[in-house]
Amino acid sequence: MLKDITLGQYFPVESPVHHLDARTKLILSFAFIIVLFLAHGFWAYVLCAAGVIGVTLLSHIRFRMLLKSLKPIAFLAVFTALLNMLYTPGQILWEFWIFHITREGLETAVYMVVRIMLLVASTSLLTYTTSPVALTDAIENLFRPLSRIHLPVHEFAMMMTIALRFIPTLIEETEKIMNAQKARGADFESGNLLKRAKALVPVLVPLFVSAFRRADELSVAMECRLYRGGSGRTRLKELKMGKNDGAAYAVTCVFFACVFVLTRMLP
Amino acid sequence: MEEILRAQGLTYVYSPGTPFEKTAVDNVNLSVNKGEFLALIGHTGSGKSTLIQHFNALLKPTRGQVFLHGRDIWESKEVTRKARFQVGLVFQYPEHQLFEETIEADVSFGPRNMGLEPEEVRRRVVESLAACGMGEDMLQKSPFDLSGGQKRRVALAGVLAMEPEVLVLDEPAAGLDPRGRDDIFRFITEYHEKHGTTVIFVTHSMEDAARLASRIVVMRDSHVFMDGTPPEIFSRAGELLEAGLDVPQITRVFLKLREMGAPVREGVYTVEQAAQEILRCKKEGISC
Repeated sequence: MLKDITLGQYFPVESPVHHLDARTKLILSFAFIIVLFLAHGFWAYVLCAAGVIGVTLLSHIRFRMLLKSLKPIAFLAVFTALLNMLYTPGQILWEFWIFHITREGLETAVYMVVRIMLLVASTSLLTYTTSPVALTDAIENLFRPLSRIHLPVHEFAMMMTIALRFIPTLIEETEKIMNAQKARGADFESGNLLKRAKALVPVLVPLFVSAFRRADELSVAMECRLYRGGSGRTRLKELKMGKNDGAAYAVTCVFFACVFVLTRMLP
Repeated sequence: MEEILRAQGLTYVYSPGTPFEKTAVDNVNLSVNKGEFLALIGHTGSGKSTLIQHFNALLKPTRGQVFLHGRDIWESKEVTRKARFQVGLVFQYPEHQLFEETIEADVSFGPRNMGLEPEEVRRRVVESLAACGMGEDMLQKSPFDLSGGQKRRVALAGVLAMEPEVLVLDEPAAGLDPRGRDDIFRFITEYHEKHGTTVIFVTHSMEDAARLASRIVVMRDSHVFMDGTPPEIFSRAGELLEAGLDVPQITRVFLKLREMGAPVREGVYTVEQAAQEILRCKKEGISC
């Protein structure tokens, strides 16, 4: 049910990719997205796909999990494919009434779908292999220069950490409350839209009450430990780049170079 | 004794096929008779809470079946829905699920979902609140203005108002002060005696189990570890302690006495029994 939401879920297994510095993974994923948009041609995409598959194997994430993360964008992918197929001018392959499918359209459609799938797969890999806390730490660290111009980088990162931290808690809480109301005969699965929306009231009210209670407790707990923002704060787990990170940068740079060469040579 | 609820080969696996896969209940067989007052005891994570959520069809077994009055509760949609009302489940910290503006509206949520007539709903609300020690003057108050103990009682009334045949409670006294504890257990036992309702309650406290239950089921690592009357269970006090579970203090004292060579009998679990046992020993002229 609610627990089946996989987007942004961390999978704690032991792997070289898990051990990489979160900043490395964040930078490389971001670079990969840019490369994906610059890449062009059949072989370049094959190489990109091979890259994603390689990292997946290296990170001990099951392919089934990766496919699961692609499910929510299936509709978007199909929609993009259809639009590209029907509205790209070029050599006509097949015609019916006002619809014509062109050779170029078909090609673009396939490329677009592959591109979207690789995009989502690579970002899913990032969140599967990096804990949310490490990820926000990395973001805070990378955006630190912005605090020079008085942007509250630490505060934003802290808010993000707290929000991410409480997603599973609130999901669990929602399930608990739903079960408790189901035990009293609440029915969330039948009836029209209005009826279903109404059926959620017995869940939402207690959920909000508990979310506010949690927020209150958390803020008191933070004040008790003298939390006063980011300045002068030290960390238990410092982000550290190691040999593996260097290797990851090197391999990825070579990989990107190959993608560029293929894009140029075999478009 | 007439059987009311039975779990057969019950197995439940959380998140199958992921690294989080966990078998919470493993091949559990359990038969509950009508009118029993059963305590379900075990460590955190031993599968108690998962097990009881099968009794009213909130969880569908991965393998195995649950029978209510001899019928599989997953037989059809109607049977499943009926099971929800026949087996009333009170969750841990049930006060966290209150949501209505008035106590009356909240307690009537269950009976309204059953599709009962307004007069019947009203009767049940008043009766179940009374059973939890709350008068009619409370009906129009907001449940959010109450104290923790009172909220818990309103939540309990919300389940009692469905007049279930089996009442299942997950740690009904968790987080209450001693007085709130006694109150809750008093209401539950009184209700049990008055209506002959079958009661199953999950607890961590061996003292509560010993004091209240007519039968104790001990769970350990997703399995049923022991199942019997309190004297039967506490005569195996040594095993319980070995398994890292608690026994009532007085049982512990008597276990020690036996170890020291005193000829006291096994399975003493109340202070009264202890007193009698010591008197018996005295009478027979053995010094303890």
